[in-house]
Amino acid sequence: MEDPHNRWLAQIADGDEQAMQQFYRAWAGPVYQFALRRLDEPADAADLLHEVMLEVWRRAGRYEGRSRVKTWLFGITHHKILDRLRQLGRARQREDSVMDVDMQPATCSDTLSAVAAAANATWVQRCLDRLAAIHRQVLHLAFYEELSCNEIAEVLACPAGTVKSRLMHARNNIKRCLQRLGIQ
Amino acid sequence: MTEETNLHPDELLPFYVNDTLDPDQRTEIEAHLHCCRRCQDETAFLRTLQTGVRQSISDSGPGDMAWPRLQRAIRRENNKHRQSPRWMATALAASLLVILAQSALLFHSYPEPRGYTLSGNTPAGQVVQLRFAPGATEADIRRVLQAVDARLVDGPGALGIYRVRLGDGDARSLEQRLDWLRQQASVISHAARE
Repeated sequence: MEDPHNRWLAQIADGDEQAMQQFYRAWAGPVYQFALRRLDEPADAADLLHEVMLEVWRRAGRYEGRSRVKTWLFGITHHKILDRLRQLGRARQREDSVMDVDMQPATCSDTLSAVAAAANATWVQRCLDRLAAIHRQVLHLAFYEELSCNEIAEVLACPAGTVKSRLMHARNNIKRCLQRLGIQ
Repeated sequence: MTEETNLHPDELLPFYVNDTLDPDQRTEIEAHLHCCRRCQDETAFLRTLQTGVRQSISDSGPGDMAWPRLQRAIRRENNKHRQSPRWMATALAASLLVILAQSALLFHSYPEPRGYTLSGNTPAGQVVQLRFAPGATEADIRRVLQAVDARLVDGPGALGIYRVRLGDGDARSLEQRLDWLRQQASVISHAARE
Protein backbone atom coordinates (compact mmCIF):
# COMPACT_ATOMS: atom_id res chain seq x y z
CA MET A 1 0.00 0.00 0.00
CA GLU A 2 1.34 3.42 -0.94
CA ASP A 3 2.50 5.52 1.96
CA PRO A 4 0.04 8.45 2.17
CA HIS A 5 2.84 10.79 3.24
CA ASN A 6 4.75 10.06 0.02
CA ARG A 7 1.56 10.57 -1.97
CA TRP A 8 0.90 13.91 -0.27
CA LEU A 9 4.42 15.10 -1.07
CA ALA A 10 3.93 14.20 -4.73
CA GLN A 11 0.66 16.12 -4.73
CA ILE A 12 2.21 19.06 -2.91
CA ALA A 13 4.91 19.14 -5.60
CA ASP A 14 2.03 19.62 -8.05
CA GLY A 15 0.79 22.56 -6.03
CA ASP A 16 -2.06 20.70 -4.31
CA GLU A 17 -3.08 22.85 -1.33
CA GLN A 18 -5.41 20.22 0.06
CA ALA A 19 -2.56 17.71 0.19
CA MET A 20 -0.47 20.35 1.96
CA GLN A 21 -3.19 20.75 4.57
CA GLN A 22 -3.33 16.99 5.14
CA PHE A 23 0.45 16.86 5.43
CA TYR A 24 0.35 19.79 7.85
CA ARG A 25 -2.30 18.10 10.02
CA ALA A 26 -0.21 14.93 10.19
CA TRP A 27 3.12 16.56 10.99
CA ALA A 28 2.52 19.92 12.67
CA GLY A 29 2.40 18.41 16.15
CA PRO A 30 5.62 16.34 15.90
CA VAL A 31 7.56 19.18 14.24
CA TYR A 32 6.30 21.67 16.82
CA GLN A 33 7.24 19.41 19.75
CA PHE A 34 10.70 18.73 18.30
CA ALA A 35 11.29 22.45 17.86
CA LEU A 36 10.01 23.19 21.36
CA ARG A 37 12.51 20.73 22.87
CA ARG A 38 15.34 22.83 21.52
CA LEU A 39 13.93 26.36 21.42
CA ASP A 40 11.98 26.26 24.69
CA GLU A 41 9.67 29.13 23.71
CA PRO A 42 6.25 28.16 22.25
CA ALA A 43 6.20 31.29 20.05
CA ASP A 44 9.62 30.43 18.58
CA ALA A 45 8.52 26.84 18.02
CA ALA A 46 5.33 28.00 16.27
CA ASP A 47 7.33 30.34 13.99
CA LEU A 48 9.74 27.55 13.21
CA LEU A 49 6.89 25.21 12.35
CA HIS A 50 5.64 27.81 9.87
CA GLU A 51 9.08 28.07 8.23
CA VAL A 52 9.48 24.31 8.03
CA MET A 53 6.07 23.80 6.40
CA LEU A 54 6.75 26.59 3.92
CA GLU A 55 9.99 24.83 3.07
CA VAL A 56 8.06 21.59 2.53
CA TRP A 57 5.79 23.46 0.10
CA ARG A 58 8.82 24.69 -1.83
CA ARG A 59 10.87 21.49 -1.75
CA ALA A 60 8.33 18.66 -1.88
CA GLY A 61 9.42 17.82 -5.40
CA ARG A 62 12.97 17.22 -4.22
CA TYR A 63 12.04 14.44 -1.78
CA GLU A 64 13.50 11.36 -3.40
CA GLY A 65 12.35 8.66 -0.96
CA ARG A 66 15.88 7.69 0.14
CA SER A 67 14.80 8.12 3.76
CA ARG A 68 11.48 8.11 5.57
CA VAL A 69 9.37 11.24 5.32
CA LYS A 70 9.80 11.71 9.07
CA THR A 71 13.60 11.68 8.82
CA TRP A 72 13.57 14.09 5.85
CA LEU A 73 11.17 16.43 7.60
CA PHE A 74 13.03 16.40 10.91
CA GLY A 75 16.28 17.05 9.06
CA ILE A 76 14.75 20.22 7.62
CA THR A 77 13.47 21.13 11.08
CA HIS A 78 16.87 20.65 12.68
CA HIS A 79 18.56 22.94 10.18
CA LYS A 80 15.88 25.56 10.69
CA ILE A 81 16.40 25.27 14.45
CA LEU A 82 20.13 25.90 14.07
CA ASP A 83 19.44 28.92 11.86
CA ARG A 84 17.00 30.27 14.40
CA LEU A 85 19.41 29.75 17.30
CA ARG A 86 22.12 31.60 15.38
CA GLN A 87 19.71 34.48 14.73
CA LEU A 88 18.77 34.59 18.38
CA GLY A 89 22.42 34.45 19.41
CA ARG A 90 21.64 31.36 21.40
CA ALA A 91 23.74 28.83 19.51
CA ARG A 92 25.89 28.11 22.52
CA GLN A 93 23.77 29.30 25.39
CA ARG A 94 21.75 26.18 26.04
CA GLU A 95 24.67 23.91 25.29
CA ASP A 96 26.54 25.60 28.09
CA SER A 97 23.75 25.11 30.57
CA VAL A 98 24.64 21.52 31.27
CA MET A 99 24.09 20.05 34.64
CA ASP A 100 27.03 18.15 36.02
CA VAL A 101 28.34 16.11 33.13
CA ASP A 102 29.10 12.67 34.38
CA MET A 103 31.65 10.80 32.35
CA GLN A 104 31.52 7.73 34.58
CA PRO A 105 29.07 5.02 33.79
CA ALA A 106 26.49 4.68 36.52
CA THR A 107 26.82 1.87 39.04
CA CYS A 108 24.25 -0.83 39.49
CA SER A 109 22.87 0.84 42.59
CA ASP A 110 22.56 4.14 40.70
CA THR A 111 20.51 2.40 38.06
CA LEU A 112 18.22 0.66 40.49
CA SER A 113 17.44 3.82 42.38
CA ALA A 114 17.03 5.70 39.12
CA VAL A 115 14.49 3.16 37.91
CA ALA A 116 12.38 3.85 40.97
CA ALA A 117 12.81 7.60 40.66
CA ALA A 118 12.01 7.57 36.94
CA ALA A 119 8.51 6.40 37.77
CA ASN A 120 7.89 9.90 39.09
CA ALA A 121 6.91 11.92 36.02
CA THR A 122 7.53 15.24 37.75
CA TRP A 123 11.09 14.28 38.56
CA VAL A 124 11.72 13.08 35.02
CA GLN A 125 10.41 16.40 33.67
CA ARG A 126 12.59 18.34 36.10
CA CYS A 127 15.68 16.38 35.09
CA LEU A 128 14.87 16.72 31.38
CA ASP A 129 14.55 20.49 31.79
CA ARG A 130 18.02 20.62 33.30
CA LEU A 131 19.61 18.69 30.48
CA ALA A 132 21.58 20.42 27.74
CA ALA A 133 19.38 20.98 24.72
CA ILE A 134 21.43 18.67 22.51
CA HIS A 135 20.96 15.84 25.02
CA ARG A 136 17.25 16.53 25.43
CA GLN A 137 16.96 16.52 21.67
CA VAL A 138 18.43 13.03 21.19
CA LEU A 139 16.22 11.62 23.96
CA HIS A 140 13.21 13.10 22.17
CA LEU A 141 14.20 11.60 18.83
CA ALA A 142 14.97 8.18 20.32
CA PHE A 143 12.15 7.80 22.84
CA TYR A 144 9.34 9.96 21.51
CA GLU A 145 9.84 9.86 17.76
CA GLU A 146 11.37 6.33 17.93
CA LEU A 147 14.03 6.93 15.32
CA SER A 148 16.91 4.52 14.82
CA CYS A 149 20.50 5.57 15.49
CA ASN A 150 21.20 6.11 11.80
CA GLU A 151 18.01 8.13 11.35
CA ILE A 152 18.88 10.38 14.29
CA ALA A 153 22.35 10.84 12.80
CA GLU A 154 20.76 11.83 9.48
CA VAL A 155 18.39 14.31 11.16
CA LEU A 156 21.15 15.93 13.19
CA ALA A 157 23.73 15.66 10.38
CA CYS A 158 26.27 14.05 12.69
CA PRO A 159 27.99 10.65 12.90
CA ALA A 160 26.18 7.73 14.52
CA GLY A 161 28.93 7.64 17.13
CA THR A 162 28.02 11.18 18.19
CA VAL A 163 24.38 10.14 18.60
CA LYS A 164 25.37 7.23 20.82
CA SER A 165 27.71 9.43 22.83
CA ARG A 166 25.04 12.11 23.41
CA LEU A 167 22.55 9.46 24.46
CA MET A 168 25.03 8.00 26.90
CA HIS A 169 25.66 11.42 28.47
CA ALA A 170 21.94 12.15 28.58
CA ARG A 171 21.19 8.85 30.30
CA ASN A 172 23.93 9.23 32.87
CA ASN A 173 22.97 12.81 33.67
CA ILE A 174 19.30 11.93 34.03
CA LYS A 175 20.19 8.96 36.18
CA ARG A 176 22.29 11.02 38.55
CA CYS A 177 19.64 13.71 38.73
CA LEU A 178 16.89 11.21 39.50
CA GLN A 179 19.01 9.52 42.11
CA ARG A 180 19.58 12.86 43.86
CA LEU A 181 15.88 13.69 43.75
CA GLY A 182 15.04 10.25 45.04
CA ILE A 183 17.17 10.57 48.15
CA GLN A 184 16.07 14.12 49.03
CA MET B 1 34.79 -1.17 35.40
CA THR B 2 35.94 0.00 31.97
CA GLU B 3 36.73 -3.54 30.94
CA GLU B 4 33.33 -4.68 32.19
CA THR B 5 31.62 -1.83 30.34
CA ASN B 6 33.19 -2.90 27.09
CA LEU B 7 31.40 -6.24 27.43
CA HIS B 8 27.97 -4.64 27.70
CA PRO B 9 26.05 -3.29 24.69
CA ASP B 10 25.27 0.01 26.44
CA GLU B 11 25.18 2.02 23.23
CA LEU B 12 22.60 -0.24 21.66
CA LEU B 13 20.20 -0.58 24.60
CA PRO B 14 18.24 2.64 23.84
CA PHE B 15 17.60 1.31 20.34
CA TYR B 16 16.60 -2.06 21.72
CA VAL B 17 14.09 -0.24 23.92
CA ASN B 18 12.68 1.84 21.05
CA ASP B 19 12.63 -1.28 18.86
CA THR B 20 14.71 0.06 15.96
CA LEU B 21 17.53 -2.49 15.95
CA ASP B 22 17.86 -4.84 13.03
CA PRO B 23 16.82 -8.45 13.77
CA ASP B 24 20.38 -9.77 14.21
CA GLN B 25 21.30 -7.04 16.68
CA ARG B 26 18.06 -7.60 18.56
CA THR B 27 18.77 -11.31 18.88
CA GLU B 28 22.28 -10.62 20.22
CA ILE B 29 20.98 -8.13 22.76
CA GLU B 30 18.27 -10.48 23.97
CA ALA B 31 20.81 -13.27 24.38
CA HIS B 32 22.98 -10.92 26.44
CA LEU B 33 20.06 -9.69 28.54
CA HIS B 34 19.12 -13.24 29.35
CA CYS B 35 22.16 -13.53 31.61
CA CYS B 36 23.23 -9.99 32.47
CA ARG B 37 21.53 -8.43 35.45
CA ARG B 38 23.32 -5.14 34.96
CA CYS B 39 21.91 -4.68 31.46
CA GLN B 40 18.49 -5.88 32.57
CA ASP B 41 18.44 -3.07 35.12
CA GLU B 42 19.70 -0.58 32.54
CA THR B 43 16.98 -1.66 30.12
CA ALA B 44 14.35 -1.27 32.82
CA PHE B 45 15.62 2.24 33.49
CA LEU B 46 15.54 3.14 29.81
CA ARG B 47 11.97 1.89 29.45
CA THR B 48 10.89 3.99 32.40
CA LEU B 49 12.78 6.96 30.96
CA GLN B 50 11.05 6.42 27.63
CA THR B 51 7.68 6.62 29.41
CA GLY B 52 8.81 9.76 31.16
CA VAL B 53 9.94 11.41 27.91
CA ARG B 54 6.60 10.63 26.29
CA GLN B 55 4.66 11.99 29.23
CA SER B 56 6.76 15.15 29.28
CA ILE B 57 5.42 16.28 25.92
CA SER B 58 3.85 19.68 26.28
CA ASP B 59 0.08 19.98 25.86
CA SER B 60 0.59 23.22 23.98
CA GLY B 61 0.39 23.23 20.22
CA PRO B 62 1.01 25.69 17.44
CA GLY B 63 -2.50 27.13 17.77
CA ASP B 64 -5.58 27.19 15.56
CA MET B 65 -4.35 30.08 13.44
CA ALA B 66 -1.20 28.28 12.33
CA TRP B 67 -2.74 26.64 9.23
CA PRO B 68 -4.55 29.78 7.95
CA ARG B 69 -1.28 31.69 8.35
CA LEU B 70 0.59 29.03 6.36
CA GLN B 71 -2.14 28.95 3.73
CA ARG B 72 -1.80 32.70 3.20
CA ALA B 73 1.98 32.39 2.88
CA ILE B 74 1.62 29.58 0.33
CA ARG B 75 -0.80 31.62 -1.76
CA ARG B 76 1.53 34.63 -1.62
CA GLU B 77 4.33 32.38 -2.91
CA ASN B 78 2.14 31.20 -5.77
CA ASN B 79 1.14 34.74 -6.70
CA LYS B 80 4.77 35.83 -6.67
CA HIS B 81 5.70 33.12 -9.18
CA ARG B 82 2.88 34.07 -11.54
CA GLN B 83 3.83 37.74 -11.76
CA SER B 84 6.09 38.81 -14.62
CA PRO B 85 9.33 40.45 -13.62
CA ARG B 86 9.24 44.22 -14.01
CA TRP B 87 12.23 44.25 -16.30
CA MET B 88 10.35 42.02 -18.77
CA ALA B 89 7.48 44.53 -18.98
CA THR B 90 10.00 47.29 -19.66
CA ALA B 91 11.76 45.28 -22.40
CA LEU B 92 8.44 44.51 -24.17
CA ALA B 93 7.26 48.08 -24.04
CA ALA B 94 10.54 49.35 -25.54
CA SER B 95 10.34 47.26 -28.76
CA LEU B 96 7.20 46.87 -31.01
CA LEU B 97 8.87 44.02 -32.96
CA VAL B 98 9.45 42.11 -29.71
CA ILE B 99 5.81 42.62 -28.64
CA LEU B 100 4.54 41.32 -32.00
CA ALA B 101 6.87 38.33 -31.87
CA GLN B 102 5.68 37.47 -28.34
CA SER B 103 2.02 37.65 -29.47
CA ALA B 104 2.72 35.33 -32.40
CA LEU B 105 4.38 32.82 -30.10
CA LEU B 106 1.36 32.72 -27.79
CA PHE B 107 -0.90 31.44 -30.62
CA HIS B 108 1.63 29.06 -32.18
CA SER B 109 0.85 25.42 -31.33
CA TYR B 110 4.24 23.92 -32.21
CA PRO B 111 6.86 26.48 -31.29
CA GLU B 112 10.21 26.52 -33.01
CA PRO B 113 13.28 28.47 -32.07
CA ARG B 114 13.18 31.94 -33.70
CA GLY B 115 16.87 32.36 -34.04
CA TYR B 116 17.03 35.10 -31.44
CA THR B 117 16.52 35.31 -27.74
CA LEU B 118 15.44 38.20 -25.59
CA SER B 119 18.32 38.91 -23.29
CA GLY B 120 17.49 37.68 -19.84
CA ASN B 121 14.08 36.22 -20.86
CA THR B 122 14.79 32.91 -19.17
CA PRO B 123 17.73 32.79 -16.80
CA ALA B 124 20.52 30.73 -18.42
CA GLY B 125 20.47 27.13 -17.16
CA GLN B 126 17.09 27.46 -15.46
CA VAL B 127 16.05 24.06 -14.11
CA VAL B 128 12.45 22.89 -13.99
CA GLN B 129 10.84 19.72 -12.68
CA LEU B 130 8.84 17.43 -14.93
CA ARG B 131 6.94 14.23 -14.50
CA PHE B 132 6.06 12.31 -17.64
CA ALA B 133 2.65 10.78 -18.29
CA PRO B 134 2.58 6.99 -17.93
CA GLY B 135 1.89 6.40 -21.63
CA ALA B 136 4.51 8.80 -22.97
CA THR B 137 6.92 7.24 -25.46
CA GLU B 138 10.58 8.11 -25.91
CA ALA B 139 9.69 9.86 -29.17
CA ASP B 140 7.05 11.98 -27.41
CA ILE B 141 9.43 12.97 -24.65
CA ARG B 142 12.16 13.80 -27.14
CA ARG B 143 9.79 15.95 -29.20
CA VAL B 144 8.53 17.87 -26.20
CA LEU B 145 11.97 18.51 -24.72
CA GLN B 146 13.40 19.62 -28.03
CA ALA B 147 10.46 21.96 -28.53
CA VAL B 148 11.39 23.96 -25.43
CA ASP B 149 15.16 23.49 -25.82
CA ALA B 150 15.49 21.35 -22.71
CA ARG B 151 17.94 18.70 -21.52
CA LEU B 152 17.50 16.05 -18.85
CA VAL B 153 19.95 16.62 -15.99
CA ASP B 154 18.75 14.36 -13.18
CA GLY B 155 16.15 11.87 -12.20
CA PRO B 156 14.00 10.03 -11.85
CA GLY B 157 13.52 10.53 -8.13
CA ALA B 158 11.34 8.22 -6.07
CA LEU B 159 8.31 10.35 -6.97
CA GLY B 160 9.09 10.14 -10.69
CA ILE B 161 10.35 13.71 -10.90
CA TYR B 162 12.98 14.57 -13.54
CA ARG B 163 15.06 17.71 -13.45
CA VAL B 164 15.36 19.40 -16.82
CA ARG B 165 17.60 22.33 -17.77
CA LEU B 166 16.21 24.91 -20.20
CA GLY B 167 18.56 26.30 -22.80
CA ASP B 168 18.44 29.73 -24.40
CA GLY B 169 17.45 28.44 -27.83
CA ASP B 170 13.80 29.27 -27.18
CA ALA B 171 12.64 32.88 -27.14
CA ARG B 172 9.74 32.36 -24.79
CA SER B 173 9.79 33.12 -21.08
CA LEU B 174 10.10 30.42 -18.45
CA GLU B 175 6.42 30.67 -17.56
CA GLN B 176 5.40 30.47 -21.22
CA ARG B 177 7.48 27.33 -21.70
CA LEU B 178 6.04 25.81 -18.55
CA ASP B 179 2.50 26.65 -19.70
CA TRP B 180 3.18 25.02 -23.04
CA LEU B 181 4.61 21.92 -21.36
CA ARG B 182 1.52 21.63 -19.16
CA GLN B 183 -0.65 21.72 -22.28
CA GLN B 184 1.11 18.58 -23.56
CA ALA B 185 -0.96 16.47 -21.16
CA SER B 186 -0.43 13.21 -23.04
CA VAL B 187 3.31 13.52 -22.40
CA ILE B 188 3.74 15.78 -19.35
CA SER B 189 1.77 15.20 -16.13
CA HIS B 190 3.63 17.77 -14.01
CA ALA B 191 5.72 20.82 -14.83
CA ALA B 192 6.96 23.32 -12.27
CA ARG B 193 9.87 25.59 -11.72
CA GLU B 194 12.38 24.35 -9.20
